[in-house]
Amino acid sequence: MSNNLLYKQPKSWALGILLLALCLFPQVFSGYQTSLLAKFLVFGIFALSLDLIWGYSGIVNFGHAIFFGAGAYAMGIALKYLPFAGATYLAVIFAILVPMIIAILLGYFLFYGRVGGVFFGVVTLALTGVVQSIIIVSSDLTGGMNGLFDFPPPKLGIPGILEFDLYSPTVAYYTVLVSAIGCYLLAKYIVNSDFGRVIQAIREDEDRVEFLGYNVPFMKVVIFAIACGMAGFSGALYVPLGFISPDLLSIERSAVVLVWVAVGGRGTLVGAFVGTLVVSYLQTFLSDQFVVLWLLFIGMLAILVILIWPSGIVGFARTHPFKSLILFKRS
Amino acid sequence: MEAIVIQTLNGVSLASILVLTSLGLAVIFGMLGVVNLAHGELFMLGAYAVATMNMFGLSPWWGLLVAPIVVGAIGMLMERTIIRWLYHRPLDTLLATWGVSIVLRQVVRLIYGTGHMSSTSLMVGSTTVFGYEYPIYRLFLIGITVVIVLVTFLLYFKTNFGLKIRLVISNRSMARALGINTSKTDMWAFGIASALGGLAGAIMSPLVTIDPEMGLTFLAKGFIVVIVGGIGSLYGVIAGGVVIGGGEAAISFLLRPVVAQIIIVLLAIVIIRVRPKGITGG
Repeated sequence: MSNNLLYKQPKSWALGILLLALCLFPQVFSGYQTSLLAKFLVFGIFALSLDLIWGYSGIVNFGHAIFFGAGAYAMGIALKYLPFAGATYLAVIFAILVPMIIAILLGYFLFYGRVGGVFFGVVTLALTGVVQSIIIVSSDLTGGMNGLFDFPPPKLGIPGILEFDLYSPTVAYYTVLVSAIGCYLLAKYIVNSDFGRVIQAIREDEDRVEFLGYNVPFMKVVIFAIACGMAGFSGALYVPLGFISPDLLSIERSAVVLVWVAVGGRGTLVGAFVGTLVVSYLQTFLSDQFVVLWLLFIGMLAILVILIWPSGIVGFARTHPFKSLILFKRS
Repeated sequence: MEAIVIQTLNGVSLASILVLTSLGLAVIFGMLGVVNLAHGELFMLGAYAVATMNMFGLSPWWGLLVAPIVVGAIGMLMERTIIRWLYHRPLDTLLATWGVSIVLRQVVRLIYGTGHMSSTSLMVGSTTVFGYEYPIYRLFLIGITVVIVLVTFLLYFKTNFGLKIRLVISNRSMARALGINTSKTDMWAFGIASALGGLAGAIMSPLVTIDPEMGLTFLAKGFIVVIVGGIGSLYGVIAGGVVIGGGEAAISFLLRPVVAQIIIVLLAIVIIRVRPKGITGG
């Protein structure tokens, strides 16, 4: 795991070019390409939220898609039952709060019960099936297996004066881009704050942090709730770009997000976006013809990355000689 | 009265199924400290072994014999190629075995297709228990679970190999100093645990639909049993199996099975909060 202090920040001119390219993307490419990139950036936020707990606090979550799905469902349900102007903002807040509350409840029972490390991962895995069953069983609210679709489209802007329809690819893209940058800066602020340092200390040695007088379970619940709220937010952003169905909470989605983060590099934050974009674009090239082979590839990628390349793309780029060609340079 | 007897038998057979599926998990965790997320897929492979025998027109009993051997061999291969490099990185074994589980599932899909397979029952018909009709296969299931658990306990507590395993668990470096090839015992322990998983799948095959996804449900339940019962102890598996199996049978008698499964997982989380070391732990 890398320590941020050891590395120089990305060069500012390179960062500027990257931002400019991202801003101009919808002007150059088609609507389809724009909404595809928007979708992948949403997944990037989702992966970022996993990196926050997996890479920084050592909590491995095999059911992270629960919180993504909970956010999307909360957004859809809120839009359906709050049919007035400006409801989108309330729905987004709702989409962040619901996963947060689930996370706090789960965290209270598990972290205070000292279920840490590997067994936390196992319980979250078991929980995925349960939450999926709950959504299918309560079909009056969630639409069951058919998914949730009959809600008014989410709108941004000032209600009644200036409204943007989020279903337009360009509006969705810029919303997602701003959100992605915002979430990244928030995550960066958190891991570099005092709180973030305690979290990283917990990852290294939980007992020692406890002896230093910190309330470890409480800290874990807090970071878990923040990460799950962020996952819920990404789920809400996904609503105008995709389709709300129980598939959003599938075990495959939870597995793929782990692979995104592992490939990009755990504990690097920016690696979450890198891994997501690399693997997702690879998927669009490969998976249309071979769904079975694609998942096989994902499984093998998980094994190989863990065995021979545990630091991921960003970790590798930061520690190897051709580093000067990349955005990241070691001091 | 009939309902009580039948429900009790259902509870016991459900508990047997859970004990059977969780035993291998507990052995691997107790011995190697590894949580094997591919265990459900080993279980699935055991069921496929029986279905394959069935496809070739052979008796399903052959499947019961072949399953532990083949699955045990796959487990040993897995340990030699992947797991043994990761013993000092427990969180990473989780992801690596997760990758293995996806690979196994997709390989089975490629070979057998996505559809269901079926196996003919090993024995059909029912018999009378305390004056009530009950399927004979479920009684066989209870019986064979008792036999397998006894054999595992004998292996663990009475044989030379069991002695080595217990020594490695209690003090790995001392075991190595005494001339025990710990790498070899690791491999065999993993193989035996995998074989247990495969055997469980083979035994369960007539009662469930056999498809590539079947392992996931059993994996999740198996882990809940292990955690609720007490991590890493063989007695814990039995205690956990009885509590979760009995509880599920009792609740599904009153409510829908789906609701019962939801309640059981939530209940397990509450139990963990109250007794973090499991029912058998201090």
